[in-house]
Amino acid sequence: MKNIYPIMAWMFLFFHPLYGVGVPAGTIMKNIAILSYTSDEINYTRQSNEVTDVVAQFVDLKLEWLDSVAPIVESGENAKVLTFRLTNLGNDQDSFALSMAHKADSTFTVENSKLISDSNGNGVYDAGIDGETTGVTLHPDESIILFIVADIPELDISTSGYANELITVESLTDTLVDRPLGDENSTVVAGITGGESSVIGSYHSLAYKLNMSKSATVKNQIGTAIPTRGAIITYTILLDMEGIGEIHNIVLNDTIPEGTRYEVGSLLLDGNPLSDGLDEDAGSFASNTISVKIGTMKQTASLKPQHHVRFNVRIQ
Amino acid sequence: MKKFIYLVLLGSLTLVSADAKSSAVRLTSSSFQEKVVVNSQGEEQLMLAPVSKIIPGDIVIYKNDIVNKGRKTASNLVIKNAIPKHMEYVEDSSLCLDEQGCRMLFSIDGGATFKNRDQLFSTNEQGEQEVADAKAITTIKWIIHRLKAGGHNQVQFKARLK
Repeated sequence: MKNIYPIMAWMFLFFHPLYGVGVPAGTIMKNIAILSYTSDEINYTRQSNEVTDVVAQFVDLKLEWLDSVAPIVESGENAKVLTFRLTNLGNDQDSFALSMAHKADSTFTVENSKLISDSNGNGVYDAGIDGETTGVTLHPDESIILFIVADIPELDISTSGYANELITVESLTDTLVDRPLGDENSTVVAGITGGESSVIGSYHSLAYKLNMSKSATVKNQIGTAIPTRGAIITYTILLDMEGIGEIHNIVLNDTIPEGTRYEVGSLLLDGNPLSDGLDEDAGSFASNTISVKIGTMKQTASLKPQHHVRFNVRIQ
Repeated sequence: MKKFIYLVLLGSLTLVSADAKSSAVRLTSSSFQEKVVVNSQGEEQLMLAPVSKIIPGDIVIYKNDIVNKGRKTASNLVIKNAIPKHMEYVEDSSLCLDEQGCRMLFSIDGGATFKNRDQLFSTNEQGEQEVADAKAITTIKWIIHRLKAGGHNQVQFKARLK
């Protein structure tokens, strides 16, 4: 006689596949078998009893922080966004309580933080449209985007680092039990998360930043600084860094002010002339805008890089 | 070493024939799940229990008990069981309690035709013939050559809830 319960069958208990989309809770599963046979040269056909089983509710969720890296924030910025996604992996509609907390291991503390749901479903935080939330209800396999929106306090280089924000989601479905040794009276089965999950998202304040200052001098045809028609305005833009670090792909763009005209051939980088054409050198003038490719600036304790961009316009 | 002992909760069986009065051979279906329990010695045991909480991904064992209550031998017994809706057959899970004189065939067309498992082919996306996936099986047929008066056999299969 064959052993009808192979010993390896226990393995399924330890390798239980989880399905985000599955047969909905409450579905009735039916099984009937049909028998035909011959006895005493008479043919018979018989049907078994109907076996019915009801699909239980399976509760599980997935909570993800979607920003690939911590967003870079600067001192005093408002409404900076962290983006998360909550997915109902269960097989029934479920309601989830949402909460957030600031982690004590942060190097700075954000202000006016709010937990917001993506009300219009476009995946992007829309101020005034997407509203604050403390809970959501999701159908099986349905996802919702959540945002933490916060203001960045006044920071200096010494307080730079990370602000770590914790978001927690908990299923409101009652009587969650562990399987398979849980309460057999429960109609609910808890998944891997046990119906609760937390994830941390972070803001990143750099230990260095790029400073930019712009100044102007005026010189008219009679050599004074009165901005008369035909006078030349010389703009100087100074770029330098604060803190220790390296910044890449710096490009300076500046639109020529209204009522003035760019003086052809006046563009300088660190005192060296740049051509106005879109060519291989770092400078160009197009669409009434000067553009200068600075590239990389790296500051160390002993190296303090600076760049000056200068150009002239004539008052019309 | 963990010991796994299979227990059958006979109390869960509802032995009700569809037509007990007129048929000498009775067919009774039942469903079970495998569960691990810890006995009084602290050993883990694998037991069969009535289905209580089935969720997507779970495997259900469907059993069909065939009992000859008559006085004469029944012959050429054919049991057909369609895989329940929302479920898919688990490969190599179909069997007979008493294999002697028992043959199993499978269908992927709703029971219109039956073949041996290794002769069941389907066409893949490249248009090639290949052995059909277990998920494609729609119906199982067991053929039992004979069942003596008072005899009992059992056929069963496993199916996974989608």
